Amino acid sequence: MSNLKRILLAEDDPRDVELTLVALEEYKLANDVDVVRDGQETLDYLYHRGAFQTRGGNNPAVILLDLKMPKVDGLEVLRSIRGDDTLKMVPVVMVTSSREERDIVESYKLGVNAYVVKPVDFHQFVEAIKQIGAFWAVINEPPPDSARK
Amino acid sequence: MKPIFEGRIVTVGFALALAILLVVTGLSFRNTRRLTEAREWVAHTYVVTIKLEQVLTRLDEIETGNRGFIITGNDSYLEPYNAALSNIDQDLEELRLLTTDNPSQRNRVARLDGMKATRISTAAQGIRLRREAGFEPARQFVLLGAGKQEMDNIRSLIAEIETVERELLQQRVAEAKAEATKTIVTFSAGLVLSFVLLLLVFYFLRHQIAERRQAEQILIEQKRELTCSQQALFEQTTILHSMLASIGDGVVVSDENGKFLVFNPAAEQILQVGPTDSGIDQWTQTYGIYLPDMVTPYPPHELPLARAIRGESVDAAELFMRHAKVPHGAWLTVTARPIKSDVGLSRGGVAVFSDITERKRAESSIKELNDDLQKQAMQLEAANSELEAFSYSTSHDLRAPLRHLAGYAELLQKNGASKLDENGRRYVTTIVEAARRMGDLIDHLLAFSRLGRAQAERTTVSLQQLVKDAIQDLKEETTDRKVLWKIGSLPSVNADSSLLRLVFNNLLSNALKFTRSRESAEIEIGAATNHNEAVIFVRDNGVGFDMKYADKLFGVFQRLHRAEEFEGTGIGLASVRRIILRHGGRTWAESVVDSGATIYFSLPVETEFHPAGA
Repeated sequence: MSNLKRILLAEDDPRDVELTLVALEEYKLANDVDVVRDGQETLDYLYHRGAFQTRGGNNPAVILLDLKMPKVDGLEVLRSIRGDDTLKMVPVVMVTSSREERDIVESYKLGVNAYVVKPVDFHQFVEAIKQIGAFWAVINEPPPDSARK
Repeated sequence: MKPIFEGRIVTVGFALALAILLVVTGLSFRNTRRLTEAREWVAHTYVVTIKLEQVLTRLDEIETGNRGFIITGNDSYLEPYNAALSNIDQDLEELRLLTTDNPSQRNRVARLDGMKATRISTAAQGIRLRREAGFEPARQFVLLGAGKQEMDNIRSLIAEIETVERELLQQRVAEAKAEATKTIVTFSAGLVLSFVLLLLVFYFLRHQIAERRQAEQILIEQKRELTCSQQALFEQTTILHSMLASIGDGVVVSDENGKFLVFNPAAEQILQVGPTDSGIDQWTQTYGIYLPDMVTPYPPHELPLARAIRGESVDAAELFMRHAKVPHGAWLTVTARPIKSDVGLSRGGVAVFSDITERKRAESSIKELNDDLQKQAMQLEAANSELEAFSYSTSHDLRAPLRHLAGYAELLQKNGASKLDENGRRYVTTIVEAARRMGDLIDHLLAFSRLGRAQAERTTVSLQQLVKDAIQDLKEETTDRKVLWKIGSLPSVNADSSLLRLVFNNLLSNALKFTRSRESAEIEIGAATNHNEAVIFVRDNGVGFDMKYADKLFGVFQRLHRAEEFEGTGIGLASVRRIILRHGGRTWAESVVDSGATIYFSLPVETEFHPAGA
């Protein structure tokens, strides 16, 4: 586990969080996941602010970002990340229920690394999350300053 | 050029011929005079000869008288002698006058005069001797022969004068003859020449007359044509007049000073005021013309006809007319054109106008309708965006709980199955399946609503290729089946390629679905084109449907088969209809239950339609 990287999951719905963690657990990745519940918390986490002032480590290896979140939505979070020199290299994957073209287009315009629509079917959902986790947290070589365990 | 040249030839020819004739006449006149002169000279010579004979006779008489007296001494013998003496000088004087023309003859006559004097003196000496000394001394004196010698000399001189005179005569006659010959030659030549000249002139004159006659013929022809065109002009004028009288548009023509030349009945009917000679300045007032604001009198020199007179063209100018006879006013539209002379000077103008009051009224009601429509369109748009917002939230908010439903049911199935009995496990399975189906429905519904909003990008699309691609996409569904594809000749159309692809995917997968029960599926794709649309059909030998429900076929969520028989959400044909409608086409279907179905759609053929293979 020493070489695994941290995954930041930004998701406001506790059920989605649970189902996502169930999926990631199949690859034993669940313990490497930090969960934030809205856009504001996501930014706090990334900037070591508020509750995360004492957070150790660097940037996460990947951010799984929900589009629709209270306070600050996913697109705004993405815009902030891509506008910040210290954060802009962090891989971001949109994981969302929306298949709206404008959401997809806007996300890619802002520089998202991947866009995944959560399948309604549970098996497909689990499969999708597992693959995202495996790819970004295991297979993909993250930018140099990412958190290492 | 040519007639002038020919005219000169005639003049010169005539002048020459006349001149030649004059010369010839002059010559013959001179000749005649010469001949007369010659004849006179002949007479002259005879007169000279006679006079010479007379002189000789006188001298003979003197001789004879002298001799007789000497022999006889009788004075009676001296009578002829004395008579001759008294006349001889007269004769000699006449002779001298006759020979003044020739100096040599004159000298001879002078000499003769001298000889005569000597002879008379000799004779007188003899007579004196006879009278004074008697016969013998006189006889001796005669015998000396002085008188005889003198007489011989005289005779010889007279003969010489006569000879010379005759020679002169001969010379003159010869000269006259030569002159006459020369004159005859010249005369003949002159006559021939003038004859030739006259012939030449005659030829030219005849030629000219022929030409003139031809020109006259042409003139006559032209005159006849002129008469014909005058006739035609008259007919045209008549037609024009009856046309002007019969058309509904007002037509007025004015000269450059504003005097009306034409004012047709319709013009009078529309304006309710006939032509006046008030002049351009008064037109606005006479006919009650206002600007489109309906209150400002039209500046008279800005009126379309006034502008046309100035050389401008005015198209469909609108103006308002109100006066005592048209108290409620009327709207006119006026088109005016200048009338120009050949050299471009203004000769006046023509204005054509009609009463558009009714049209105006209709336009304003159309405008009202249009405003209403626009309002409705805005309302529709608002409703539409509301709907869009709804479907957007549906996409997110409905799917999330559904996913949770499915997710937790699955977890229950997986982790809690041992605690459930048979029924419990079936319930969970049903929940999972229902959730999945609802997810499908939502996905399809969203896709369908997106069809209505996506921008159609039209290009030239080969349906032949599109069908080939669609069949390729369905390969997986046909692996275990016997499917006979019959693809006819399909056109290229101007359409959105990806939307049309969706149409064929839907139609072909439907065809495959409903032929599933057939041992061998036959699916035919073909096209027929008429002048304004291409009709494409997909025919299968599947289970078909009851034509009673044909109009339900293309509705959203409308299904004619039970879910256990054929899966599906009832969105496919609705999508097809929506796409085809967006392309301006139609959709319909024909079927006989259990004998297959044919789904048709049409696409309008615009400029970019090409038959297959073209």
